[in-house]
Amino acid sequence: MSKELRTIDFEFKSADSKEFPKISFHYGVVGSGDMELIYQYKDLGGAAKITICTPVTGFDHVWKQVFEKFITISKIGNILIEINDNNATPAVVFLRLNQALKEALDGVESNNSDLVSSSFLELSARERAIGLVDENSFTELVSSYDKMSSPHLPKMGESIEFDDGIVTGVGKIGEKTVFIISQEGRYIGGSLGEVSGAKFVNILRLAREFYESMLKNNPNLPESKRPAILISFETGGVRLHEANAGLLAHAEIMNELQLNRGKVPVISIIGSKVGCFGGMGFIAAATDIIIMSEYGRLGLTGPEVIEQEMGKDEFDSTDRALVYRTTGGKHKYIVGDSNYLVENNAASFREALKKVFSLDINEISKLRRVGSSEMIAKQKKLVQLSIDLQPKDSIDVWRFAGNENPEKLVDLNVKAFLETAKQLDIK
Amino acid sequence: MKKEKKVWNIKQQDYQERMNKASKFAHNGKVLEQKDVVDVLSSIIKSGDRVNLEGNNQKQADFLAACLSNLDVNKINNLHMVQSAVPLPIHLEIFEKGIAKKLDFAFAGPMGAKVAEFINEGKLELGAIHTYLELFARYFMDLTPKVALVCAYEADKDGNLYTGFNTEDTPVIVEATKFTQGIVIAQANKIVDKVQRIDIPGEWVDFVVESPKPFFLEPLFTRDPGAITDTQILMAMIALKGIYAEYNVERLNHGLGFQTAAIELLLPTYGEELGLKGRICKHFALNPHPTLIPAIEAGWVESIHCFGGELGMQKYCEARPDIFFIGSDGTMRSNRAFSQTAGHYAIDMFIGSTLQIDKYGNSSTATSNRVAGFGGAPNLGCDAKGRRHSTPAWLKCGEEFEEQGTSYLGNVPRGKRLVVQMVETFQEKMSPSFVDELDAWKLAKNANLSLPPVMIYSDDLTHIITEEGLVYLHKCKGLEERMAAIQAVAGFTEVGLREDPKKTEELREKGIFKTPEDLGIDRRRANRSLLAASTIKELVDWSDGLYEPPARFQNW
Amino acid sequence: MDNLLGKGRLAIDIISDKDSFQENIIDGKSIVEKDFGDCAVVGTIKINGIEAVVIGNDGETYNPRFPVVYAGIIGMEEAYKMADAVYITIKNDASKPQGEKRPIILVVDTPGNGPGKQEEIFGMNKATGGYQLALAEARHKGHPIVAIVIGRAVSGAFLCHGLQADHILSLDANFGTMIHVMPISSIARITKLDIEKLTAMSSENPVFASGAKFFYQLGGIEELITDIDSMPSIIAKHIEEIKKLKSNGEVDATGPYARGKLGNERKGRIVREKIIQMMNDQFATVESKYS
Repeated sequence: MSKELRTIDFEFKSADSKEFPKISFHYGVVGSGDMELIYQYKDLGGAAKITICTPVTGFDHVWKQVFEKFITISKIGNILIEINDNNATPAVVFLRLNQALKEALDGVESNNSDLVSSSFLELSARERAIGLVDENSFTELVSSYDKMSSPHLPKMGESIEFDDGIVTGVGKIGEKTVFIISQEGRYIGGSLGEVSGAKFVNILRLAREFYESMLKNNPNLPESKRPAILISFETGGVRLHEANAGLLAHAEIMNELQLNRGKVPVISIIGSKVGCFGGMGFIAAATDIIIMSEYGRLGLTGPEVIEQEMGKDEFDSTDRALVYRTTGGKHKYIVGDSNYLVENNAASFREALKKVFSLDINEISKLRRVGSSEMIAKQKKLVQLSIDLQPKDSIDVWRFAGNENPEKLVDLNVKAFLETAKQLDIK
Repeated sequence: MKKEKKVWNIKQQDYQERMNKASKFAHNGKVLEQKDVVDVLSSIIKSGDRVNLEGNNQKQADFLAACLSNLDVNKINNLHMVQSAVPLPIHLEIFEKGIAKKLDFAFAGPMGAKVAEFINEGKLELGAIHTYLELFARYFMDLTPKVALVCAYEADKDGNLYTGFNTEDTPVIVEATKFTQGIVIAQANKIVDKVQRIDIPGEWVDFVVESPKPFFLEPLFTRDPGAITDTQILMAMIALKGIYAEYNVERLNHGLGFQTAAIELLLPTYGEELGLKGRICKHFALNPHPTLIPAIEAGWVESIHCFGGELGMQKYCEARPDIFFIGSDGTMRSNRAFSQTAGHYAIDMFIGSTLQIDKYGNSSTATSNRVAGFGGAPNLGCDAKGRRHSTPAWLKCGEEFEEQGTSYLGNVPRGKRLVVQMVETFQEKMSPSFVDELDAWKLAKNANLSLPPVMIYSDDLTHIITEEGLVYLHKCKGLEERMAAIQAVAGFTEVGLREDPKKTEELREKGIFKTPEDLGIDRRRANRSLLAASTIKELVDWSDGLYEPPARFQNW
Repeated sequence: MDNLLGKGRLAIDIISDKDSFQENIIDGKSIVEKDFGDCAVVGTIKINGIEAVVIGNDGETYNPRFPVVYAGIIGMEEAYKMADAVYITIKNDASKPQGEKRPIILVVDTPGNGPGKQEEIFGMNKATGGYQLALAEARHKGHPIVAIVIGRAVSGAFLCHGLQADHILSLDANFGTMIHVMPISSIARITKLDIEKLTAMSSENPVFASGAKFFYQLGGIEELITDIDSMPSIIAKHIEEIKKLKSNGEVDATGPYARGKLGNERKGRIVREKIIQMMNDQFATVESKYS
């Protein structure tokens, strides 16, 4: 059924065209039914050149009409428009073209303070990366403008994205330099392929090398200047279309995490729609610190697979409440897998980060879950608890942890939850 | 003329005969054991009887349906089912087995394809597809049930029923059946000593049985704000500025789609900004939509009467007795017949979504192989010809109605209901919303129907909103202008591609077609940050924890 | 012998010198207190006279305490048992010089990680993550780690048990070895591409295909083994190679990062290097802003 991706080119010229400013402007996410675009100035004698990369066939005449109308109305010229499409309807395409043009010409409506206060769940990978660090401090490395998309997907008819679903870069929080990885769940579930894998791995290395060179220049580097790595997860793990490359990248990431220990702390941020599952679930487990919102989910095996393995009576994957009780932020906080539970906005994640940054590297290391034989010994007690308690539901574990009305915890807001909930205490 | 001696109480005798066979199964008053229900049904139902099985797009008498499907088809067959809806597989099983033959209904929902298939295979003979209100009317005319199988939350040994929040169709069915000497059996979630409120008096009920599990309820009106798209938000902004504000729509019904959910969630944000609070959306006839919670909490809404309940909204409704219809026991009572009547006569606007609109403006959700029915939509999405009271919105729309003067009314003024369809020009999988011919025509052929099933006829439709903008169809003069207006909002569909830009410009000048820009809407603002709640959890927070969403909608 | 599927214990016998396998014993002491992690096998062996710690899967038993753990699946207990074996080896060899750290041999035949409710409630991800960190630490500290795939090496379980090794070897496809994230039939279902097309495509692009051959092209495997009897000598050969490569404390000469480079040389993963270079170059231009 599905064919290879194809590109379609158009060129239009409006009679009294207005020149696009001498900038490049990226907009959008290649989610299902959506698209991204880059507007770029180019001297085309007033014309507009459009290239679309799309899995859709049989609608070329419609594309043509959409652009003709867009150029006729906007009169925009001397512009190169590149689009990655993932089955967006003409309505969506027209909306995005106009929204993007307005932002490119008039500036973005929202600013950093909006990003910081609005729902973290709603933010794109790029918005999260920008919103987590200080205003105007973020530099994206290998960005959409570099157009390093997957070389493997076009043959499989799967839409590509200029950043391959991952935003990587560097920014500042106070005087600390932070390296950032942020995954985009709307693009193929935030999955890791060859390109996104390489970007992920290299940020981890770059941060370490940066730290080592800082240390070389200043052997008494103050703790406050020690760089850190933030990973805003939103992923189901390996991208099946390029599964082998994704798998090998996971192994590299784990290797880098171990090499970064005691040097550059790695902090997991989990509060996006897809959660953090599959191979990325154990990557997160192997980082130093985990910060989650109540909407975040962390685990290894997805709910559908558990249902398939255990039967619907044991685990009904359509029961979202059960799914969240098992892998959601509140549960992970109670069992100690998540170090912090925060409100659903970047400001709250930043608050927690400031707490982490007030600790020295040894104190941070103590907050890990795994990474030494002592930590393994503690985890084995949890496994024993699993055998002794045989919980039917996470609620049983919450009760065991000393929560008298565990059912009530589910609907408490974060503040009330943190005041009330008792965490599992495994000596 | 010599008057023949005639027996006038055949129905009463028949009732007695049937009851004589069945009454031995009752113990403790009217209470049946679950295991006896099939035998009871065998005693009181005869082949060819007209039977009502309660169920609509929400609650279902599912236990009694299962019992009915277990009757011996050799003894009882060819039943004529008259029922609001056939959305469960068990409903079709009754036809598959041959126990029932004929069907009169209003809504098939997920079973629409099966209904079409059964009609084709001769397993089901279709009486007619009705609206809810139309079917209820026929219960009191020529489709009176002999036996009604209904459902309730609570029943006592005397047959008193508490149907509470989900009262829905029960009163209509029971009244039509009982007062024509029919037999009423109710399944209840619980048999109690004293029901908390008598919604149906015990004298109207012959038997009650406690069902093995609570009756099935479909959360049909729950829309997760997390799934609302930017395009839907843009269209909601168009609706608020171009229609709600323009006509000061105070009394209305909303359809159940994401489009109207988006409007509901924009009231406390964008609506507030436009200064519309207190001017619009004061009275609703609709199910308790969870997405309406923020608007209610922000003080927009004065009253809501409900067709039915919505899973998880019970506590919330009870805690807002100033808004909802609440009994002296403190719980809500819905009633589909009354709410549909309100929706037919007392609203000024219906706004909802559809699958297809044809080039003339007729719309339908029918596809070529699904006999789904339209439930209540046609009674809401039409101009109620019997209406005589007036409101400003109704009058304004009537004044604008271009064809008014050319109709048979002469110089007599009359108002008009605002009937609005909101569709994106393309639906999922690039299927166009604007078509030359509705799939309903193919369905009529495939399922051998006498008419193509149209949900809203073009002569009732006053406005269409798409992402392209808004057209005021009632302001058009003649069919040709109307078709041009439809082309103007039909975007890049085949219908839309026929648009003549010159003609569209004329329509804009006349104020018949308005783009978002014409309405002063900034497209950049059409994004999810404009929603008063962007997740189900935020709806729970708005409700102070009173809204209890079904587990499948929870994501925390 | 056709294959060693499910026969982790037999494979351990084959690679070790006669009667040298001491289950659960490292340096004469048992590292397991009670019934624990039944589907994992740990202990000490000798390969061509070299003492090594061995960690494998037992595909012929099940874990009676965790119903989803059977047939070589790595459950929570299994992963922690495997991690314990690694940490104890690290600890006991702490004072040994670089070249004398004990080799660790991973005998790989596992279809997955425990996919159950208890596992998710208590954090299966920590167990597999913890084991991987232990292996990475041992590798960085100089222990030569050789993984040999004798059967199934599937997705997350292969990541957990195998992909952190210095070198990875595999019996070739003639022995029924299965290295993949997902069989091609499932990939076909998810990508909606037909199996024939996918199979044809995999011959020119190994990035998604299943099988040891493709992993070899991607640099995921150092050597394919065509003969069961040669396993001990090939393993021994790799132990020596690894020792040499790591002799100056170099951590990137072997292991996952080195395999990334190998993937480039073998033309299986060619964008990876480009990305790394590009990112480093871009960072160099802004580095001073962040120092």
